[in-house]
Amino acid sequence: MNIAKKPRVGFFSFASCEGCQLAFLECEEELPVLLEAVEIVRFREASSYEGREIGGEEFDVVFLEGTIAREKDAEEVRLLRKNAKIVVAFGACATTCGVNAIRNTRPLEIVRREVYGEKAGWYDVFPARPVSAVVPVDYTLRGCPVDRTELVKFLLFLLRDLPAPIPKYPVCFECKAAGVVCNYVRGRTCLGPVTTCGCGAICTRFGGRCEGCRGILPDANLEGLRYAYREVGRSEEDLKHDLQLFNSFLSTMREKVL
Amino acid sequence: MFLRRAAGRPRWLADGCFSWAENESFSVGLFVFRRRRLELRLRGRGEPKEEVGKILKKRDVISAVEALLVHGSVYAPVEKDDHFVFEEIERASDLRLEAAQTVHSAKGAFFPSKDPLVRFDLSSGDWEELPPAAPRFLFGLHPCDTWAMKAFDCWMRDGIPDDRYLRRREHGVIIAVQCLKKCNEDSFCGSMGTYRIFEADVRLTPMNNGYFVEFETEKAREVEEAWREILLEATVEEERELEEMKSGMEDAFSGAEVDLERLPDDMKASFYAPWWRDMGKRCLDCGQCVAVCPTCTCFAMIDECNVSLTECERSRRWDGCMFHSFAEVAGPHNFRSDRCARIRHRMNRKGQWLNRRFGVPFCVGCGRCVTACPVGISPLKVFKRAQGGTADV
Ligand code: SF4
Ligand code: SF4
Ligand code: SF4
Ligand code: SF4
Ligand code: SF4
Repeated sequence: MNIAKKPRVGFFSFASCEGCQLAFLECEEELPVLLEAVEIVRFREASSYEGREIGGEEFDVVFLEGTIAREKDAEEVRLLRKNAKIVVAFGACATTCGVNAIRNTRPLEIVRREVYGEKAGWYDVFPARPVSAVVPVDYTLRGCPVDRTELVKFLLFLLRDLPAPIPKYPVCFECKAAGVVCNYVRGRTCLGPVTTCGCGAICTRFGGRCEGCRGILPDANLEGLRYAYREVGRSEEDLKHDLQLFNSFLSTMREKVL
Repeated sequence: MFLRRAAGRPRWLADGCFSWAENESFSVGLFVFRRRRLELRLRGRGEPKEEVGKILKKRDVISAVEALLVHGSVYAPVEKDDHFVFEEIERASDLRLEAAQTVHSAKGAFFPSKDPLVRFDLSSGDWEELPPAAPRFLFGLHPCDTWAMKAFDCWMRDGIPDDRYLRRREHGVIIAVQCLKKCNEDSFCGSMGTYRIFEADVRLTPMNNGYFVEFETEKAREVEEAWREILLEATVEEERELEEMKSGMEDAFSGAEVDLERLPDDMKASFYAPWWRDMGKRCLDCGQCVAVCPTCTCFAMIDECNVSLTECERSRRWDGCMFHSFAEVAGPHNFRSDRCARIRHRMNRKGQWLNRRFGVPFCVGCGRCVTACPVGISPLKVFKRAQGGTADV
């Protein structure tokens, strides 16, 4: 390892279920070694400290989990970007905006009233957006939650000061390698052909369909996917509906937010 | 234990370890004739056999697999999610010899989707080869699969022979089952001339009440030995039934839709045809066609370190020309960044370049990619279009 000083690492969480931080904590076998290699400076989920103020601390790497849902979050993210050498968007909420973007599909006022009732006015929220819509991001770790194996691999590249590989294949690639009988062959739909791999096709391996939590590939052929849906008797509406779960931001909101 | 090797390209195997790869040269475009010749040769191969034919009764199939399992692992069609796939079987009763077509091919037996090759020590650089485990018996390959294996062999033996593949291949015993009719609506082996078993160690021909068994090669002896108590001698009626079955089969596969002799030239002539665009628009680059295809051979190398960064494992894993990143090089430049160019490339590998080069079909018409493709792209449609057809591709 060519790092003289232990890199200072921080974990920060915005609008999310914090499941991705848990995924990191679940790397039980690797944690002892990883913790020797880095100094974790901030990690509220893993500590008894309850404050969440973000100040002028310097970091080598920050992991940002969650969606940016209000101006205050955006300011913190900007500050973290300034203080950190490497910013990693961590999990679907942070990378594609995940399920949080669904709220963007309806007028914010209505959503706010639905959630907060008469206290709606207390919460100053804006349309949900991924971290990359606020600051430049160096690395993207996808998935809801992030994949542990991929996370550890990523950290190993980072520790060796090497650029981490970016998954560029569709989920089908891992799915087929695992010998799964394809959902389309079974007359069902699946977002695997257009979704970024790296999860090891965990959903399809266990009999499910890929829901696209890792985000649509940049060059995905959505026109072709429409055709594939039609081939198994599903409609354009079905496709829209499926894409909405994790990819609302991409399909509907990007222009409005950026 | 690490082996230290001198600098230079590591050879996974000392030269000359496999005897099976006799040097065959194929004449361009003449594989149809060659196949006939080979069939004649196969018929008359080995010591003159005086034997009576052997029959494996349907009720004895499970015992036959059990007998094989005593000698080694068995890779065969099993049922999965209402379909069939090739897998290493645990219990003899898992075998589905009646499987019409498996959704995935059998190539994974000799070319696993991920194959750890070597492990090396990061500080000393010492390395050791990881043994290429492989199934011993491949049971239930169809004729198209035996042709695919031939194509695979040609490719893997070309240039620097792929020792790893060839060692596995040498180790494996192929027990193939003749198809008597087209196995499903997507297959087109009749058009590709691949509906008769090309080469197999043991061939089974389905009969009303079982299988007619023929032992073809040296490697078949082990199977013959294992099945000594299980097989019955064929009666005169059964010999006659076999002949009937075989002639009925020729009819079932007649009506080829592709002119194989002309295919390479026709594909070449259609290289810039506008209809490639139609496919390019639909293709999802999902790579399923590549993964299920028994003649797709592409792979990538990956290194994976352990968490304390002391050791690293180098593996090869499947890759494929349908992926956008496949042709990405430094720059970043991508010499096939266009979807349409990618699908055209794959189809030309199957219908023009490799069949011309090696003299065997590189699309064996198994139809697996057709079944797998979510947008209905099919080599048969492409070949027909290239030969003057007008149907949509
Ligand atoms: S990506 Fe999923 S698991 Fe991770 S924080 Fe968001 S909702 Fe939770
Ligand atoms: S099941 Fe989904 S992910 Fe798997 S190969 Fe089929 S489309 Fe791709
Ligand atoms: S299969 Fe799809 S939905 Fe499931 S984890 Fe992978 S990317 Fe997410
Ligand atoms: S291209 Fe398709 S039909 Fe031809 S051998 Fe490959 S999987 Fe079978
Ligand atoms: S299976 Fe079909 S859609 Fe997928 S890459 Fe192959 S041709 Fe394209």
